Amino acid sequence: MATLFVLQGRDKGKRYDLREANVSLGRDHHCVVQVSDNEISRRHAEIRKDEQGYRLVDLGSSNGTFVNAEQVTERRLVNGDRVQLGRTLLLFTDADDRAEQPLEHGVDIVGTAAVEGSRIVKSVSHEPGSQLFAGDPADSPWLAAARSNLQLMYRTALAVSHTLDIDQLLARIIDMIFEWVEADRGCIMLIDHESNELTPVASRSRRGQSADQRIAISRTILDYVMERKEGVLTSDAPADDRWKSESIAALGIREAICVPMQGRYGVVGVIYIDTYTPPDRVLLAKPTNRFSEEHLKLMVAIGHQAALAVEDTSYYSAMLQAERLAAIGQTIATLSHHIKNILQGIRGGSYLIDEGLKADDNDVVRRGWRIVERNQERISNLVMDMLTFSKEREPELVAADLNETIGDVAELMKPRAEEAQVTLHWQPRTDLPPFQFDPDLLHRAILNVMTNAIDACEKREGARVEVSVEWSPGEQFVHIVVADNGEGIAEGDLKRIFSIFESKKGARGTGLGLPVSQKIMREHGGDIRVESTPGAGSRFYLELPAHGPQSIRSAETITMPTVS
Amino acid sequence: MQILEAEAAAEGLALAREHQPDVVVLDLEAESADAAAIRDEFSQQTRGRAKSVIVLGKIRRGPVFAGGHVISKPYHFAPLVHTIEQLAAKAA
Repeated sequence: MATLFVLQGRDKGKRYDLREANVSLGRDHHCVVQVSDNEISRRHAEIRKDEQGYRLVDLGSSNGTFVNAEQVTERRLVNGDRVQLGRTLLLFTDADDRAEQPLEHGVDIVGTAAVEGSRIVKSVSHEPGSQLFAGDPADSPWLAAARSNLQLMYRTALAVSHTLDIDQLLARIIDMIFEWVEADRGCIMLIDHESNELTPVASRSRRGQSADQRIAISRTILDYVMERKEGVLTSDAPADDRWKSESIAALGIREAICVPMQGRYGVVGVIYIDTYTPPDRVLLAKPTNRFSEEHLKLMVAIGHQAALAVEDTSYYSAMLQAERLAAIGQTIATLSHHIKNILQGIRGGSYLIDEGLKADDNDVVRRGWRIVERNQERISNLVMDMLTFSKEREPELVAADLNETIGDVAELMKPRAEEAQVTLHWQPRTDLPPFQFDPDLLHRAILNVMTNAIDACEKREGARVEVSVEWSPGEQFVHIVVADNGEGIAEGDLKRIFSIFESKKGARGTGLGLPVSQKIMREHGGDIRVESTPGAGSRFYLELPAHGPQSIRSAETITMPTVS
Repeated sequence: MQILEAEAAAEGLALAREHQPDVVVLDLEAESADAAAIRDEFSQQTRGRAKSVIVLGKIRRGPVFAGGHVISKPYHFAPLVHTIEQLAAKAA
């Protein structure tokens, strides 16, 4: 069965079900579809039903009949056609195309009669709605208060929610709506990006209402709201005073507000709320409309804000997701690369051992073994760095001897320094008190910086790495200084050396060393600073709080964009 | 067998021009520069004996480098050594 819905004109909001075989349209009150429009004839047109569908026939009207802005004498109507008679615009829908869609939230989008006779009382577009915050002196005290609290409530809700989950966000928004507007039922529907259909995401009934009653929303109203981007207030109470009419008494009055959720980029969905005045209340007194234009204005503003919030969550979470995937992808690629190189090294050593054993040549075997050992060390460092990097770890602070920790690292680095022909010089200080730090973590932090220093000046003339401690009693920080006379770091690169996986050492560097060291120092409440002169050398200052952790800065492993 | 070593492709190219080796083993992944260009240069260098360039790593066979050997990483050394010895023997 088809329906005519009045979109424009004095009868705006009215719906007519085309039950009869012939439906007359005109000014005359005998017409099935009586249109109060001076520019249409008494009997203006007719819609005739036949086996193929519906045909619109002009009955010789004075001003003509138009379908989709084209004048016609006769035209077969299809779903969605716009029929214009005089100043009245009607929408023709063929309900057969729009089957009822039962949806999980108890919301049905219907093409026909369930929302019989609702007319649009008022419509408000986005513009006035967003001006809500600017305020209007003519606003009632209620609206003024609502307005002044709306922004605050949104900020609070979003801040408190900590959630990027759209469902939770919308549930909160609908709760807020119920606090501010006396609705009986409400639901928020979002456009599903795959099907392009409106899908209910959150719904709610006020306590005391029959929760099993499904919300039936007219599709034509939804289409209207979505296309025109206007919020509408509908009521199925007739314009004139027919309170004593039986049908009203039997059904009560339902008022509804449906607003678009218009964001920055487009409409993301709709918010629907309604109230129901039962027949007994209708009969007791002439009830004033429970929904007013002010409610509509407020809802339009809420719809706008909700859309912004939804856009923020879905775009933001999509962005985060993309970033995470990209970061994971890069991590896997880089790690595989390093592991592959190490494996290659082990194969080299193994080959020598093999050949050496075959030829009974111990020197060859030993050479091979050294290569295998070195690569074991490399893999061990890689794994340790990965672990340190990935854990959000509280350092286990103990009172420990800084000289001893640094000395251990220097001892470990001696063979590497020798191989690289670098003079490694570590000067312990005799007047150091014990400090609070995690010896294992600090060991790793210093090791990575020292490794870097040695690599930086490898095989250069007079290559030298100096390690020392700078401290005086009463100072907030103690500094472990690693200075090299290597190639230095360009000004623009100074920050980048602490980003993960950016290594300038080609196949050898893992790119994890310095970021890990920085993370460790920050977890201790300190940091790493670097001064460098390209061509002359660099100085790394590992900063450790002298009196225990004061401000523990959180070490962020991935820089994330901030939520505005 | 005489073995010449170079740490960077540019150095290696110079050595190749000077000494005209029978076999060139080229580790492309150690180079951050344009791998294809380097490979092509080396192929040109060993003109007519393109088949004596062994490339370690991933490479697409370009128009210049039609022949030659590609050994992907990680590789086992024994087969590589064997290939080198074979090629050297052929060139001799």
